[in-house]
Amino acid sequence: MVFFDNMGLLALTPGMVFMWIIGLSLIYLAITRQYEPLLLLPIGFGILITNLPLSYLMEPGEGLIWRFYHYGIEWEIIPPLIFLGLGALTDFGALLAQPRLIFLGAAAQVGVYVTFFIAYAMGFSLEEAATIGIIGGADGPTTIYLAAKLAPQLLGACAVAAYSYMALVPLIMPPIMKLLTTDAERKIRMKKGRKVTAREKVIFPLIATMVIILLVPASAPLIGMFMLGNLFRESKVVERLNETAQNSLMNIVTIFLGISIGATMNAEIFLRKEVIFIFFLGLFAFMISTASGILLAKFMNLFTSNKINPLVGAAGVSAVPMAARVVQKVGASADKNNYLLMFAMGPNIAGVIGTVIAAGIFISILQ
Amino acid sequence: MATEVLVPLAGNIWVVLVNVGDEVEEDDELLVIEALKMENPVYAPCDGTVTEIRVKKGDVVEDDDVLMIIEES
Amino acid sequence: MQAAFEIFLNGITGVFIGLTVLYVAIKINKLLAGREPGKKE
Repeated sequence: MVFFDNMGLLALTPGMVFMWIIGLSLIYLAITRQYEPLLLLPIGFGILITNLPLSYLMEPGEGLIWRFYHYGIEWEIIPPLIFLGLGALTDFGALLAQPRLIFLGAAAQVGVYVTFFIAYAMGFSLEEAATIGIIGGADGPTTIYLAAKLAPQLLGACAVAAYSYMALVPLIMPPIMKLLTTDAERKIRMKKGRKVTAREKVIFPLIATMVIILLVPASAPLIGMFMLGNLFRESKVVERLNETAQNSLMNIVTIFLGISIGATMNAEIFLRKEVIFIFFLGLFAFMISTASGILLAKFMNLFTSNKINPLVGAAGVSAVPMAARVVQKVGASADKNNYLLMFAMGPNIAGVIGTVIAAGIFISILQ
Repeated sequence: MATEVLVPLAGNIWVVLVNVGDEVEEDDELLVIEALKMENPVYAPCDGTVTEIRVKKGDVVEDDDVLMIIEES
Repeated sequence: MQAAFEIFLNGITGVFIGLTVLYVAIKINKLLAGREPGKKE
């Protein structure tokens, strides 16, 4: 009977079953542990559904999810739209009040480049190594954007690594933070910055757009959308657009982003030993980025009397705002009257900008 | 001596845990400020009696606003 | 290896230059717009 010949069951491979387990585990972690559920839940479902044989959902030119992937990610539409929403959600106040903390966000990109170098030495191509390195920036949309441009075959693994480690920031960062700081350093209370005016906040996204795109034109799609979203927020005259960018639009594109990324992970592409290396290198990148932010803060303290609590440097690993929350928690465990949260938001946001610049530099050199 | 309890970081008042007239000891939790979806407890700076509370649940507070006043004992 | 090392150097330099320029831009922004209209520091 034709029905039996067309059954997916007959085309099933052990690799597909293994991928089901991965997909279901992500769904399980999203539901029970709430690890980045907005992304890992649709990603897990995407993995499951793409590993059901003969469904042709990812068949180029005809599959449903292939169309989401092609027009959303290959055409580079979804990651910039996420950045539009992130811009509308971001308050640059902490950064404008304490601009020197911007350098901690730059230092955290050291992890990106060190990992890039090691990945290349391990035999990955330059494009692949760049995509793996950018995981250390702890920024999901930037990782996806860069992967789609340079190494689409690694997109799924890199995205899952980035989002998983972001969810695990509260486990990954504290041991490094404690190792590299003394108890006295963790107790440093920072001086509050000045009040930032509303006018400064409106002008900032405009000058940031011009300055960054003039320097690194390849970062324009992400930075442009990021700053436009922020202008929506700070101008206070387009509340409807602001609200849409940070809620409805963001939610809509997140659905298509999650399922498309999950669906790129079919058994043939995903079950290779390189993927294990990607996960190790991604973790390594996170750790180096955390450490380099802290070390730069300690270095800056050598030259200033207005001391920086080095824990704040760890927030240069973007993962907004989880990394900043971890800084607050570790700081409060040393001195419960020390509130580092707002200080940590400066490097945290600078880290996002730094990662976008890093991605822009990779693109301009490698493409 | 009256001691002012100031806002350590801007956010919303999540919950106020004491009432006017309560005796508090240093490091007792007075209230919780929510900022960036994180609950941040504020502790008593000294032993004493709460004489005035200037905020309530849901209020938006800025850096260095006065939260409450404690008459030191 | 040469190519990778060059990207490594370019990248780190680029990120620091980018954020340094942004730092300067914030400082200039503060001078231009950092005071509430009508208020003195």
